[in-house]
Amino acid sequence: MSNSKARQPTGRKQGRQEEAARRKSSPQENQQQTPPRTLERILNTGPTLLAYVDTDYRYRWVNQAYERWFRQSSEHIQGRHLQENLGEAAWQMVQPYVARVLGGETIAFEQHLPLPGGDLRWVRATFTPDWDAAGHILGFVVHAIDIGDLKQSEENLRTEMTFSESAINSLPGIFYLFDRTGRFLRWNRNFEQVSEYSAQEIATMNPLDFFVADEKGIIANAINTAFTEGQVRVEANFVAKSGQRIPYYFVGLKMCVGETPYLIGSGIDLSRRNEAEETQRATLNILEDFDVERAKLQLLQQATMNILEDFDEERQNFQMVQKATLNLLEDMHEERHQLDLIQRALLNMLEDIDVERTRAEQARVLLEAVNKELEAFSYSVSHDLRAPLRAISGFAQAVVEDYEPRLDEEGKQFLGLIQHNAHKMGQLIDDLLTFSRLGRQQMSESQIDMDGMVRAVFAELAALAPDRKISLTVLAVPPAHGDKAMIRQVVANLIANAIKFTRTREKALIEFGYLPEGGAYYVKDNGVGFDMQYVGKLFGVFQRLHSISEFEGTGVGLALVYRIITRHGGRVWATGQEQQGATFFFTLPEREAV
Amino acid sequence: MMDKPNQMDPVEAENVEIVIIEDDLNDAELILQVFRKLNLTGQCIFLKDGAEGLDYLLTQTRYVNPASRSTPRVVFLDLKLPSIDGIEVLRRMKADERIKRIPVVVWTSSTAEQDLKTAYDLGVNSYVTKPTPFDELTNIVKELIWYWLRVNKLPTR
Amino acid sequence: MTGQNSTVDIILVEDDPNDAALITRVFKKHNLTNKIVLLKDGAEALEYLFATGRYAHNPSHMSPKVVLLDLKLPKVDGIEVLKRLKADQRTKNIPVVVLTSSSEDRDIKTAYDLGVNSYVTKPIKFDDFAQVVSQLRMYWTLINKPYEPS
Repeated sequence: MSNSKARQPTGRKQGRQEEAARRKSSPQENQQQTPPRTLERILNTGPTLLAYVDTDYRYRWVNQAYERWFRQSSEHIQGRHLQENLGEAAWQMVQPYVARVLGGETIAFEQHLPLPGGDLRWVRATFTPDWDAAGHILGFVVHAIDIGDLKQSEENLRTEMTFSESAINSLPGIFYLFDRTGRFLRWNRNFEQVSEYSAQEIATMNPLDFFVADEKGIIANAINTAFTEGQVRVEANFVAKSGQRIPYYFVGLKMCVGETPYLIGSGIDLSRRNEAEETQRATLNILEDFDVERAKLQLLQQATMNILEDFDEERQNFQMVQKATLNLLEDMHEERHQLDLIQRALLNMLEDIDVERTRAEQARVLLEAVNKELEAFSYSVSHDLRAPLRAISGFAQAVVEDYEPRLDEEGKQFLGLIQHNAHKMGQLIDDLLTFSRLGRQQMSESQIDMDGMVRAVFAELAALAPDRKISLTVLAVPPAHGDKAMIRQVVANLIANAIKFTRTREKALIEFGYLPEGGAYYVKDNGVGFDMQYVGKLFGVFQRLHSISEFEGTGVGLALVYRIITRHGGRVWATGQEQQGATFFFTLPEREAV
Repeated sequence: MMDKPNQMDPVEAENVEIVIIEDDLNDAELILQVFRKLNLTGQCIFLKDGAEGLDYLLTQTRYVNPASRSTPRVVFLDLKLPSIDGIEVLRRMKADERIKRIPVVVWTSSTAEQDLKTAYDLGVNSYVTKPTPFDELTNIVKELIWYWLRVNKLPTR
Repeated sequence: MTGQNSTVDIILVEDDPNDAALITRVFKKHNLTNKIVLLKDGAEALEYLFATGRYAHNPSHMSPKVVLLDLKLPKVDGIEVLKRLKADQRTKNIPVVVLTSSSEDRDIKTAYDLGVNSYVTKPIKFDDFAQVVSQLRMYWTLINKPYEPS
């Protein structure tokens, strides 16, 4: 038996022949190996669009994916002309490919197809011709895939690349990226401009090409250092195409993309110092975008910072600033010393204030104690003075009651006088007590309805003299500010006086009002009045302008009024005329109470 | 005897000052009338049994400030009361630190010596028998009110 | 030897002679049958009420209608007298009315704590004084019913 195999034909021709040969062989055999149902499955699953188009450009068969893509059922599509299904726009694009496949060519293409309905879809398609045993084209098979996502990624990448491109080109310094062999992969426009070489030229050049002979070695070493140690900085003269030499400062960093190392960096024109920082910053940003390890970034930053430091002029400036700062500090020292003195003085002052405050506090406590003692004293004085009075009144009364039949008129009269005097003394003690207490009392403050108060006081006092005709007129009066109880006392005293001194009148007329100019309240009566030449004596304690026989009274009432009003910061005065009545005025200024 | 004014000083008439524990409606009515005449209806409270009375006194009295305005100035206490009787009320009042200083006036128709003794033993402040001539009741009540509201003094704090 | 000291109605413990005279007068004026005893200091009061010392001849049990007790007393003060009276079975049922010029809260509270029946302050003015004493008389001799063991 021979083992040699007949040599199989190769190439397309072989393919065709094989195909034809397969066809000739038993179709049934083939069919048995792949049952129809399985075929069905294979053709209708997956994203691949499959279709068979004949030489008349009509669909003979489409798979389910095709149906879904075009949103038409196969019944609909089959028999249709390509143009009809694809729409005019897409047909125009596809037609050339169709022509070629029907010419026997297998074609693959990518197109952005505008479909009926407005869709624009990216498609990658393969058209494969179908021919019979004789080599006649019967039609072609369509394989197509929607590559929309793929296209989008490509687009993004392109955008990204454009962006990076712009970024790199915006760098003020020169930017470069080359591999171990020295092949430049990326550079910025500045590089082209400074070096005066074109992009095409640079693409073929080596880094060492930009340096003069003796500096080449330095650069070569530097590049080596970068690749072995990770980073390098070096100063050298960058030589342009024209031969011009520009002093440059280069920074290089090793960067790995996958396993492959690259050198990335930037160079700063030393003759244009003020761009150093700018470049540094810009460089940093871009380098970040290229995913350099952060540690290396910091090193780069440091390196660039050092550049600034190394500038002599900068250092000198700094020294000057330093000197100026020192001077300033010296001056400040002087200032601080002054401040210290002031502070000490203030502290002393505060101490003194504290001492003062303590003294004031002590004085206040003392005052309170004295007040309390005075109060207690007054109280006991009043008490002790009154006790005998009670006895006097009591016994006088007892005599009157028990010895009535044995008393003549004079006797009764004398006893009456005893009682009267005892009563009067009691009154005097009360008045004195009130008067003295007034000076020591705490004043409270509130809004006082003067109208209401006057009327109430009058009602009380008038009730004590029910047999007399007394009329009160209250004119429009504003509310006042002051100690309610004390002001009530004032009003009571003035009205009581008015009632008292109008006793000789048939009808007593009392008026209470307010004078806006001067802001004074007044009590006016039509009583006996007084002689104005004695007006000064009116408000003194125990001062009386009428004899006791005419009008009783202790003479403390007006003194009390005077004292209260004065404590409120107001004024009291009076006008009068004998037999023409009297008017008493008082002011109550707001919040001026002492 | 001098005339007392019919109206009390309005400044003091602010809170309940007199507690009357009395179950007889007629007597209560008469007493109330006196209060009306004196314009003191706002200052008295009538309770009709011992338990109610005690409860009122114990809850209305502020322990922290035993002589505050909210403490009554006097309790008129009948002896014959439903639930807890007057003697028991008196006993409990005088035994309770919070309310033992409130003057209690037993006000009863009983003249039984035992009641009298027990009441005084328990520390009653005053014992008054209701007069049989009815019209005198009004005068007596007036006197009682006047005495315990004006003559008798209580601590102010 | 009960004699004059039986059926004493009012015991007045007062050191001020003026006040004593005036008070006594009020009580007597309205009811001449009122028997009033005037004691001038705390010690005398205790002796009288407990039948000791100069009053040893007093009956062992006394039931006056009321004891009017001033607080500011020489020798033994009124509070002490009150305390002794209310602590003793023999005297605790006697109505005691403090009649004093003191209106100090401390005194008032102490008096009530000791079981005083009533506390009255002496008015300063005579007219009021007379009125109050008159009221006292009226209340404690006519209205209040004292316990008188038979």
